[in-house]
Amino acid sequence: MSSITKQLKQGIIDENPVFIQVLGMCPTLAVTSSAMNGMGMGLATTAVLMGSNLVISLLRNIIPSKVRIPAFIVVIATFVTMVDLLLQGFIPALYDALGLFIPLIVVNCIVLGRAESFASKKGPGKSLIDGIAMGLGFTLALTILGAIRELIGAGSIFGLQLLSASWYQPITIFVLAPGAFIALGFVFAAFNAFRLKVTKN
Amino acid sequence: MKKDSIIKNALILFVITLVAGGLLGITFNATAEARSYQTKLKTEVALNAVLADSKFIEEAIEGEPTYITNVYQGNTSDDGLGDVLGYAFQLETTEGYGDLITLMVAFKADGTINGIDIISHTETPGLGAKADEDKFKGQFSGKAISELTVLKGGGSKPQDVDAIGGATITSVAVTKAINEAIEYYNTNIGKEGN
Repeated sequence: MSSITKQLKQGIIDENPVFIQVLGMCPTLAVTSSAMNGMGMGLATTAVLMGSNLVISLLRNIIPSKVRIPAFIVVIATFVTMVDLLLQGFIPALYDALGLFIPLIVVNCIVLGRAESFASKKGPGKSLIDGIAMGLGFTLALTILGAIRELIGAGSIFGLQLLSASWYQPITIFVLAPGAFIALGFVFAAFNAFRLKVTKN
Repeated sequence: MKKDSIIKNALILFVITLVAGGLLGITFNATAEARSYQTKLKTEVALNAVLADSKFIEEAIEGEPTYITNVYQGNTSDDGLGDVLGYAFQLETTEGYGDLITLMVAFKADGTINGIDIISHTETPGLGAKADEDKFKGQFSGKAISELTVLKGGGSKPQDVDAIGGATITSVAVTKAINEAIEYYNTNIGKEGN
């Protein structure tokens, strides 16, 4: 049981895919224009990570090492397309918000990275937990970034207007691409400062 | 021996892709109904938003318009024999800042625009995405069915449309598509005396 907690902590904090490993920057920067979008993208990626990690771990003794990369990509692409079709059919609101970015999960280096460095070496149970842990870490990072950008850029979080338009002039650049880079830099710094402080104590 | 392993590798990869393809086919078929239902639902929601309390009958499109993808007659009766309440046009434009903007506009039989609704878009959140807010959409209601002009900062003439701040491209794209529907209505439908 404690190994599961350890794995979760590792994925969410110690080896956070965005803040520590700096993987998956394309979706991190592109979809975090609001907290909702960030969380949706994070959860969709988590679903794909869980599926691909589990299947790749089960197939790890069958897939020859020479053709492992194309085999991984086929597995990942299959899961992404399935998530895409399911969202389109059953959660249309989320599909509208993420539509363009879902196919990008295929080339998200986190998914391939975990397949290569974890799932292809460990058992299915551990790999599934790893998928959940890394996915949640990714979701956390995207939600934080999305919330900050939405708050500064539009005065709201999760669509809830917090800063009244009567006295707050939204800094629109934060919901645009340049704002993503600026916000990401500050969040990086804050997260790592916090982590250093915790480890020192 | 080496040749053997190449063939074996290829075969394993082939089996994996085959299974993946099969799974995708199953998912595609299993969700086909739900997906087409969602598309239909969106269109219906938009139709009811622009022209309430009507039964809609799809009409054939005359000529080859650039933006118009569907024309609906709004009627009091399902069989089209009742009173014509107005016409709704489904429009698609790629001239926005994002990819594709799909919208619906309805004209009332009394010669005014009844309303517009954005069905889907990929415009920039906080800027072009405001096209889907009532502040922008609302200003079309009640205008006469003749050419509209987009102005920054709001015009004073009745046919002026106030552009969304920081999103002129989106505002112009939407209005241009609506202008085509206006022209189509005036040439093909309005004249018939409906």
